[in-house]
Amino acid sequence: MRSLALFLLGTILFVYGAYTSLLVLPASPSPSLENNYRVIFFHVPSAVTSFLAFTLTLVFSILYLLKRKESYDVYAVTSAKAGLFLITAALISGSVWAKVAWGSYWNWDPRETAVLILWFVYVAYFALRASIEDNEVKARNSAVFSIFGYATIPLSYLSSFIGFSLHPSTKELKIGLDVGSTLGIMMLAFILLFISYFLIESRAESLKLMLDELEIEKSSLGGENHG
Amino acid sequence: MDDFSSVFVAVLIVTVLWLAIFLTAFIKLRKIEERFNDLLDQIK
Repeated sequence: MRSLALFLLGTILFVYGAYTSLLVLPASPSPSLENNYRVIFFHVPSAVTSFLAFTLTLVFSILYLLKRKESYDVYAVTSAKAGLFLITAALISGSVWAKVAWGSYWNWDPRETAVLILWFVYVAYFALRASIEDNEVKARNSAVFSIFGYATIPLSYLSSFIGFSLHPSTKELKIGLDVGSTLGIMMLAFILLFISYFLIESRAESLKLMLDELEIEKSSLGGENHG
Repeated sequence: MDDFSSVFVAVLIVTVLWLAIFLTAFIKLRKIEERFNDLLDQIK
C-alpha cells in the first residue's frame, strides 16, 4: 500500500512537472537553447536519482559484507536496477539535448564518457550476478564489485569540472525561481517513483527467495515420503 | 527535427522507460505472490 501511495504521488508530480516544463514555462531567451533546455527537467532528475540509487547499492553492499543478511543483497541489486534504468534515461535524454545544443548525439565530452563507463560498470555488475549460481557467492562477489564500481560515480560528477568539458556545470546554469521550482518538483517525483519501485521490486525479490526455499523444502519432504 | 520535437522524443523515452520498469515490477510481484499463495495452500 505504501509503495502504491508513493507511486501515485510520484506520478501526479511527474505529470504536473512534465506539463509545466513542456507547456507553461517560456522558451529560453538563448538562441542556442530555446525549447531544448526543457530536456533538463527530465535529464537532471534521472541522473541525480541514479546517483542516489547507486549510493544505496554501495551502502547495502557494505552492509551485506558486514552482516551477511540476504535482504541487504536484495536491496543492493534492486537499487542498482533502478540506477541502471535511470542512468540509461539520463544518457538518452542527454544525447537528445546534445544533438540540438552541440550538433551531434555523441561528442565524447568528459561527462558523457565518464557516464558511459559508469553504465558499462553496472551492466558488468548484472553480468557478474547472472554468471554465478550460488546465491551466497553471487551476493558476496557482486557486493565487492559494486564497492569498486562506485568509483565511477564521483568520476562522473567531477568530470564536468574539467576545463574542456562541454557539459554545463551547476555553477554555470543560471536558474530562476520558476525553472528551479519545476526542477524541484521533477526531482521529488523521480525520488518518490524510485522509492516506490524499490519497495515493489525488493518485496518481489524477497518473496522469490522465500519461495525458492519453500519449494526446495517441499521437494525434499516429498522425496523423504517417497523413500 | 526541430528542438521542440526532440524534447518530446526525450520525454517520451523517459516516460516509456518508467512505465516499462514499473509494469515489469508490478507483474513480477503479482506472479510471485500468486505462486507463494499457491504453495502455502499446498503446504496447509
